[in-house]
Amino acid sequence: MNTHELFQRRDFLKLSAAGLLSGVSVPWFESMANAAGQVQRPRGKKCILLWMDGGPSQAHTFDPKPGGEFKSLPTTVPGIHVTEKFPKLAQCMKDMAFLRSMTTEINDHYDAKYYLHTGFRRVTNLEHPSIGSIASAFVGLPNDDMPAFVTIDAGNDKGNGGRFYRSVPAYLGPRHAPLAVQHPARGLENLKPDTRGLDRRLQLLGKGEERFAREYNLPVVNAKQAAFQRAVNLMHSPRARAFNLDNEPAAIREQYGEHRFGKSCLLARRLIESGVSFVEIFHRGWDDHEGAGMRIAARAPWMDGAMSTLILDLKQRGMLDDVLIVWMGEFGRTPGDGNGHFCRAWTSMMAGGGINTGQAVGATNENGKNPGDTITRRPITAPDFMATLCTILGIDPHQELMASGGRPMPLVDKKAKVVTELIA
Amino acid sequence: MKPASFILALLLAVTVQAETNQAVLKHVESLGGRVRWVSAKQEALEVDFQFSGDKVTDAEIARLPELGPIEILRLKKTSLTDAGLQHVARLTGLRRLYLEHTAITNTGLQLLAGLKQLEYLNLYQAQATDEGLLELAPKLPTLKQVHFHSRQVTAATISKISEKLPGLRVWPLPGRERARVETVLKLSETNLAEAESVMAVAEKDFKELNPLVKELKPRVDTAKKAADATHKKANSAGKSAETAKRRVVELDRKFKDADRQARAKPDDEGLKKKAAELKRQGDEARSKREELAKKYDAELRSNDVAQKLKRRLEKKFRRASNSKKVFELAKAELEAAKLQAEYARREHKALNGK
Repeated sequence: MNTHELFQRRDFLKLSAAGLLSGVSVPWFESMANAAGQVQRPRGKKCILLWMDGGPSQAHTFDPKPGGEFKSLPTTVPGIHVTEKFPKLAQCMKDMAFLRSMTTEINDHYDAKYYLHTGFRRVTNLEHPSIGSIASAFVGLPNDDMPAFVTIDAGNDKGNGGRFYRSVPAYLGPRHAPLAVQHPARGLENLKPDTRGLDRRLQLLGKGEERFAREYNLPVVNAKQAAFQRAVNLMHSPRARAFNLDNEPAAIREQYGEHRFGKSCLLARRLIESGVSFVEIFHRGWDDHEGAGMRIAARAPWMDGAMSTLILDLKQRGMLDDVLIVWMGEFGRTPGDGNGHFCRAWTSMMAGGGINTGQAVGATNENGKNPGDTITRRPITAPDFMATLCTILGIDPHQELMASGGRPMPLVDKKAKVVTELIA
Repeated sequence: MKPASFILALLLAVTVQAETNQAVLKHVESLGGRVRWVSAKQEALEVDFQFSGDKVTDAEIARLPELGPIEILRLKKTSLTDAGLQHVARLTGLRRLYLEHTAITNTGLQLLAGLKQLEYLNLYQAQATDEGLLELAPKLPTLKQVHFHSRQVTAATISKISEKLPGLRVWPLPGRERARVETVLKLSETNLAEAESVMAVAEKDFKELNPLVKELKPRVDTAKKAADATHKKANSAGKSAETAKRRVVELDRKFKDADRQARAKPDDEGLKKKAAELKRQGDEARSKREELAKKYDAELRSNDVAQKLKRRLEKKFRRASNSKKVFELAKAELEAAKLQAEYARREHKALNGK
């Protein structure tokens, strides 16, 4: 079959959904129209997910409270404050939106990480695909040199934060598993092709496998060959230079900061520029059980510098409309000192992506014994968040997929409601 | 997949309409370009050459208009020159045009005057400057957003543009950038000052209190024991006072009964005597009660003193034994604040150096 990029299976499905093929109207375009008014958005936004593993304290970051450990600081948007530790991000408020009413039911690290990455509660009999793999499948370019989904390890502060969650493509297929970068400064360590006849040896291997692949035409065989081919494509692609931070001018490297998180943000920008669709940067060590105050005070400057530089850099390059930045953890922390896990009312952040920035969606209470422990406006559940994220990235959250065993699975829980405030 | 491919072929005929379109599509793809639909409105197209590099020259994009209504065109890092913009100018439905890292100059830019739907224009690291935009922008009624590198703009021209076209946003905005850098510098200095004061306290604690940890430990234990003892004493004194109080109430009640009976039978000397005896006992119990209440108060007071001492010592001990950890944290906080301030100063200096 002559498959052009233009006519992928999903486009085919979309067209049939639009009634072009079957004459039946199915909800995707309608829901898009409902969610987004009649505004057109370019399909397939890219995304940089900044995952603060362990659960960052909302009261010490983006939802300051009277009497809190940190003072509040006005931003460039009147009425929206952050804590005093984020002076640079405060100047980027017009390009950011806070979701201050996250409410997600799970206080256990691993289950919450799973929940916030997939939009589904963890169960024993089925694995759900993570958001990065979903983006890889629906936004990523198939047969592209660059991988669609890359994760970057931005290091580990003190604190445990429980078992680490690794993104799984599940029934979307192994093609959508992430390419993992272990250290942003080292990039991809085994990328340089061996000049002594690698291609020749690969050809030989290909011939050897040809008959097997023909006789046993199974998904797992195809997946293995696809993964191999992707790695080889990447080795030969000039775009793979994006993985090497040394190619970046010193002045820009300095703006992002010498911290591993800053380097990760710079690498993310380079990867997005070179065609990667989804980058997840995880920084471990936000599980501040011994008090969040002084620990976040030490962490805030590099986070503030790197994130604000990422926003400004993308903005200046004219890329910010096409790239969504998401900052979040698996839950927030108890109001006050931030010692405990707190899933009832916490804050996440979105920037760029062509969404309605310069606003804070939802709110928590200001008065009472524990200001910030209750949501007073527009609660956002994990499925709501996932549906919103998918919609912003140009993925229909209401579509149904086939899980293994022919089991139909909705991409996002059917009860999920998109946060329409964020979408034009 | 066979029937699907048949339908796809049909679809191709319906949506892209002609074989020529498919030829153009194939040509785009042979150059490493991509064609996508802009979602929600499938007839509008996005053509993306951003990874094609020098394969895309002026002549290669001549047939793009045959492809269909293109709304988004990405020509980043291609070999496009001013001459190629005449082909781009024919894409009158264009809303977003990406010309980053190309050789486009101010002269070529003027060819775009006919793009009346254009909202977004990216000229980051192209040869064109804000001067060219000043000439072009008034002819583009829907233009909202333009991107340059800071080398391509001057504050004077940018302010002319924003005066003429208040609805157009141009990046970078030198004026706004200056305000941002100055605010960041001020706030970073404030944070640094605060981190320094936190550090001063932590350092003092560490120097003065940390050596006392060993010495404080037995003192805390002694104070704890003393406080426990006074607490016990006060408790038992409280109990005695309570018993005495109950005895007073009991005797008062008995006396009232006896007194009532004696009044009812004024002739009965026995009853009178009994009442008098009860009154005497009651008075005695009352004075004893007062004495015990005073003792209880005294015990309470000394317990308060002991508890306060214990609490004070415990707090001091906690502060002393935590002082090392707090000192380390304060050091980290100060280091981070210093770095933040340092970056802010450098940024400020770079801005003023321009």
